[in-house]
Amino acid sequence: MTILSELGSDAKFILLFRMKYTRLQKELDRKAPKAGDITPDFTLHDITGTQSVTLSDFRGKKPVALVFGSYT
Amino acid sequence: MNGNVRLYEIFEPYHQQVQFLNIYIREAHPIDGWWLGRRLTRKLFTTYFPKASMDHYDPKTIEEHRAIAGECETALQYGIRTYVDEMDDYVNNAYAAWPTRLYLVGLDGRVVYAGGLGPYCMKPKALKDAIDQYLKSV
Repeated sequence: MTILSELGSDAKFILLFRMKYTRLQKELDRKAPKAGDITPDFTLHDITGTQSVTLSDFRGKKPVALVFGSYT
Repeated sequence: MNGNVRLYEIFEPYHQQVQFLNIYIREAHPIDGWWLGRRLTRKLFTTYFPKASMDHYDPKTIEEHRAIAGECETALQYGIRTYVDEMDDYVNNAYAAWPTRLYLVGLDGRVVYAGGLGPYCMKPKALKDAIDQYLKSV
């Protein structure tokens, strides 16, 4: 593949990426808990699998900031 | 998780009053998924998200999941323990969190602030403002 055609293909990919993101955003924002909703409880483990945390344990003690993400 | 660079600046002043939970969910752009490792997209990605990786496959086991979460925690180095969603994506689905999203949960267990879908609508400044406002109200 020449550099030019590769760049063209990438540009198309970027445009489609934004369209796909917008569709996804509409779908997921509809499902996401809103201000005032009771939060779904959970228990998760850390990267070693040995330490756990339960969201509801913080009720009445501390507000909680949830930061969701990944590495890529 | 480029937003975490700025989130670190929120963590520092508020971590005594607010519990921060960093939750690793699904990979946003694995090699075998919605990959951005092509020429132009790689350049854009590394410019805007210099700490993010583009060289991982979607984990297939909880051990792989934890290993990548650990690499992410090490790379970001902002001192917040990372917790890992299970392979059934329960928490990710419950919070419609993929690829990134921020929430503030109040003392009563209700959502105080629900951020938009990242990365475009992930706004750490809005979380900071919500924390400020909430702490003044309790």
